[in-house]
Amino acid sequence: MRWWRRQYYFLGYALSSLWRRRGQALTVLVVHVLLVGILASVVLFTRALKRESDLLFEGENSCYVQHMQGGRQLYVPAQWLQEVSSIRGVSALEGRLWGYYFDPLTQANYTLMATDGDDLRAGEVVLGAGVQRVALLRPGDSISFRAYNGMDHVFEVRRVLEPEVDLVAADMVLMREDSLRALYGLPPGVYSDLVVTIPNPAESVTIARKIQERLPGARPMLQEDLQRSYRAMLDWRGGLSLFILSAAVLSFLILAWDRAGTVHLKERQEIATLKSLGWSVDDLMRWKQWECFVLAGLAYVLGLALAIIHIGWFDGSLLRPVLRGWSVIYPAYQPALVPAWPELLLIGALAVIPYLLASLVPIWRLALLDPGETLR
Amino acid sequence: MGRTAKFLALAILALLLLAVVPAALAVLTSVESPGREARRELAARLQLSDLCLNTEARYLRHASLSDWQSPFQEGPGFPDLYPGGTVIPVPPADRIGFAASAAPEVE
Repeated sequence: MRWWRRQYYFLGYALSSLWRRRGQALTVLVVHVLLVGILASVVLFTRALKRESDLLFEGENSCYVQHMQGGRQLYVPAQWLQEVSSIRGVSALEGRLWGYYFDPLTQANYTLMATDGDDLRAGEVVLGAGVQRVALLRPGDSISFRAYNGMDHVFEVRRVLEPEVDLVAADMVLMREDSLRALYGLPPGVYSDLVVTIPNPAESVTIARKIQERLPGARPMLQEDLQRSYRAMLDWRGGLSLFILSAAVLSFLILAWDRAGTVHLKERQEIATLKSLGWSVDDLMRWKQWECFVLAGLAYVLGLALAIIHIGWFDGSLLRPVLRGWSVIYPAYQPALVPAWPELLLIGALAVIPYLLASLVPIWRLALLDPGETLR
Repeated sequence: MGRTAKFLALAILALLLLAVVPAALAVLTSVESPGREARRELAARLQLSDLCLNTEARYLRHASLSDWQSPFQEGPGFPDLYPGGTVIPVPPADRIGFAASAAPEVE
């Protein structure tokens, strides 16, 4: 009971002393809030994308097969389909036909893909919402692509995909298989890559090895490996951002050390007076501890709120330019907030503990001195 | 007395703040990103492999299908010049489909 009362009075004194130095406290608070806000935004945004890729591509156990020669991807020859489908354990096999197209008008890269869905007629395309945004086209308008032989092929826009599927298809142009073959100049039976469905996940590595053995130049990639790549990629991205931001952490520490290290004359006087009034070193430290806890705790909570608003309401708009680089087409995407508590608590520890040390050490050194000496 | 009341009010405010933000995060995390089902459906139908995060270059658009050579295809000693390449790295090399020695052993 006595202990609680003492803490209560120390907290009260800490609050009033913070209020007396409100200008200084506010500066530290604002910097602290921004720091926590940026770090937590990176964590929340990265985790949202990670979850998205996990949920989107989980499910069927498949294997993508590419044809490589000299470090370059070639089209998959027709006889590969028979060869792969004869492997035991393969339940379905499909050739994907797709490629890229640089549109000189919009300066954007599109991904062109053949589909047998959407009831497309010859000469019709379905556009991703990102393509629609840069090319300013509506259903019924026409869009032209230059074919491999220099001929212009004109297509009618059948419909535009909903912006909500942007995250996987912002830059897509879907058309019939014969249209795409005519555009790229590809003979029938040739594909960009193969998608092999393997019902038993335990067999996938064996089957991938068999594909490699039977078809030299084949590059099989398992779905689970692709997902692992994504996780690694987003970890790297988050880690890289945090590494760059560690400069901000360091400069904050310098600020905190500087602020606290050069204890103001008024504060020196206050410490000396309190000490001569009978406060022990322990009391002085308790008072300063409370000050730091209040400031850092408030900064952490407000910083977290800032990150939630940034990611939840503004869709991480400050982080997006880093990810999209020079891309002309990029997805409209509302990230879902993920409860990334371990990382968020780590940020809290990083924001509070060094600040606590940087503030308490100089006060402690001062508190050890004789009050008369402190004043002088 | 006035001071105590002020202090109590501040303390209650601080406690509320401390409780409200994590609680808000907990509630907000139960909200799913809109359109995820539509994305899943499209990804399954077209058998897509990648998120469309960046459309600068082939190996950034389909980063997971990429390999360690594709960023440097333009010529010997040619650097990876797209800014996206800084934040979207090449996939890990220990997976199957890279060098045969890197593939897991199968008995």
